[in-house]
Amino acid sequence: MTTSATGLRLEPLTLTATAEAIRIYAELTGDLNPIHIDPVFAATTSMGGIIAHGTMSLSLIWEALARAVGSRRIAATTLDVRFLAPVRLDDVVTVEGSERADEPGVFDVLARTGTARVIEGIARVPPEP
Amino acid sequence: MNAPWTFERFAPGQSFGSWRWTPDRDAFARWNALFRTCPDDQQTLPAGMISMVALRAYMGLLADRPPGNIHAQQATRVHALPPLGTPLETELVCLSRELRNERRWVRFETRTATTQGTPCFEGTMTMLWAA
Repeated sequence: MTTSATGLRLEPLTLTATAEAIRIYAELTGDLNPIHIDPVFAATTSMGGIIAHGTMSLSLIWEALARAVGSRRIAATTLDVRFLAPVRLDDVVTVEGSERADEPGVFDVLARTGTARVIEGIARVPPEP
Repeated sequence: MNAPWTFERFAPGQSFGSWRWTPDRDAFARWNALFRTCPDDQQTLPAGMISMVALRAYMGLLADRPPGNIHAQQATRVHALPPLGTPLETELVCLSRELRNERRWVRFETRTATTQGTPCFEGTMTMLWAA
């Protein structure tokens, strides 16, 4: 976590969406949708190939937020996100975010692969107890 | 095998029941081996596992889904993060079903509490339904 004149900044976290990582996440969640794990099926879909679970990147956003604000504040937080684009096989996902200067406790968060945003959203974190 | 949950079968207010699951230390260890964001002696459910709890309930309660659904939006409100090993129960309800620009949108609500009734987190997930 870092602090700037514009408020807290989330320490970026990364995860590579390897086939192994996607398979492990599929087993953890029970989400065995073939678009995530079956390259033959995934190639027939509008995605054109395997994509990672959106919530895999979302989990990383939650963890970056928790590191920035601590466990007490995260336990009263709301997070709204939109999944903008798929994370494809072997993409490196980076999550980051920062607190709005004019709205303490409101964080703009995102996940990206390279420069392409794959998730964006807003977290509302309660003030320090 | 049950009939698949096609778009036409959903209705606002429709309940799919609840799903019990205990995020124990073993599940945490497997999750943390992937994400590597928490200490091994983590005591409470990591925030990063919230969506996993909701997703497991959704997968379990709507097991017969058409392949190829896409998760479009997710909103979550946290009330408390329970200690690891706490049995949790997640309710799943359909909030809306909408055909828009020839795309099938279905929105669900999940509410997760301990089996003792203490609220933990709730959320909505919007899915682009495949069939």
